Amino acid sequence: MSDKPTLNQQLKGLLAKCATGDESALSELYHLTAPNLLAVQVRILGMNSMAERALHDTYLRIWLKAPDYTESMGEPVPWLTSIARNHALNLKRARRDTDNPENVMDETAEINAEFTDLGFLANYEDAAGVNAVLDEMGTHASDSIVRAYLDGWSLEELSESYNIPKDSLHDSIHEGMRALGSAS
Amino acid sequence: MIHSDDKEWWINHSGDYVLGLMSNADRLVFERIMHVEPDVQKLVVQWREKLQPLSGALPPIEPPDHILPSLINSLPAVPEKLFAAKTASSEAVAASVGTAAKKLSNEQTQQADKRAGVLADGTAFMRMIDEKRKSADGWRSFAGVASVACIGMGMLGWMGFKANEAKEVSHQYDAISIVESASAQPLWVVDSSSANKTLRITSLGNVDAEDGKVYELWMQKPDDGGVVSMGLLPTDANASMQIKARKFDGSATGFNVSLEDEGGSPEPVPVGPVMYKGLLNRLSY
Repeated sequence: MSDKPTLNQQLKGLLAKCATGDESALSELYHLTAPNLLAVQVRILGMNSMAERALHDTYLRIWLKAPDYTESMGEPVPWLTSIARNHALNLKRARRDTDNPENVMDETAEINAEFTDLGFLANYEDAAGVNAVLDEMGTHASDSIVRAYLDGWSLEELSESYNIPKDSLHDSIHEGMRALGSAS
Repeated sequence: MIHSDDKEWWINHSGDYVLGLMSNADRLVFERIMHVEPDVQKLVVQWREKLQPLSGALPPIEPPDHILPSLINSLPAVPEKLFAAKTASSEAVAASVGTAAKKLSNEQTQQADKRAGVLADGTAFMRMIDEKRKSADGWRSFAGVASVACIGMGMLGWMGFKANEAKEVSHQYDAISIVESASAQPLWVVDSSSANKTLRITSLGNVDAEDGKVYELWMQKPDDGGVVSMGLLPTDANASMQIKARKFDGSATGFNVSLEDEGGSPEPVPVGPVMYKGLLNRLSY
């Protein structure tokens, strides 16, 4: 059995060091996580300068939040991902409020096109459980969960896209999420 | 804690929060509740971990080389001691928010309920909370949440949040301070954005200044580094204002409120007595 620490164990140690003001720990944490967090943000914002700025600002946030990180906030990878996602979502929402919403969707359409099915999940072993549950769901529920989570689509955008009333779609999403939640 | 009868409701809404389906206003209120209620935080953590494989499945993208050096150059220098102090104060304030909310007197709770009723259309999430609270079965989950929510609702409602939602987006508040009396009565809520140097100050209407006097807000610098005036405070119930505070520093540890003659302190420090205090608590989500 290997004694090599898991990524989450490594990140916990690095976050603790960041909390003491150790800049080299942030660099190491960045090298370990930035490609994944950038992928999350590019998926939401599109490949552009905004995603690069978002990544920079995300690590500033991580630096500032590191002292507050505790085990009760979950494992580091989902915690860091949530900081990256939330920041990208905030930027997308701000852009949505000031721009023509169609432009926002157009910008990300190209990069999202290759992910219109859930095939990409099949290449990632850790996603097998989620993938299996999503496969069992109604198409609108599973697509909506993926679109909302990965692409940052709002309920309004989803409803419009699928031509389904918001409340009905919301109920389907809740049903799908409960299935995900109860899956082991 | 979440009552078992309400659990599914909270599971659904914490799922909405993690998916990103809540409106900006609902999200802010939800985050406040999550900050003081461990059960809600636990649900959010569970959803994040459940959905993480979707993010993990995305092909990684190597960031451009220039980002890391630029990041390291822009890191704020914050000493270890402050980090330790902030960590300790974070828990203290979280407890304080919950305790203060739970300590609202019956009369204040009724006032808050009235505000809640008037402002219930402020956000969809708050409307649902309000309906649930008034339902025949009553509100069975944590007792403090309604009061905490009312504080949030008062703030959001007074601001006419719906109309100003777009404006609010550009001021992502990353910290909150509840300025309290010595008996832990909440008096003002100060939301702050260190990035935008913006404060939103909301009076909870529990304080009156004597004639000819005003309350002045002071930012407390870390390591007893002194105070900086942030301006005069509103005192009318639900009065709220958003101000650009160029001197606000994200490393502040809290706020003090002094009682001054009209126009505020003539000096760069309080001249009148410091009456109230609130610790600054970074929002973790």
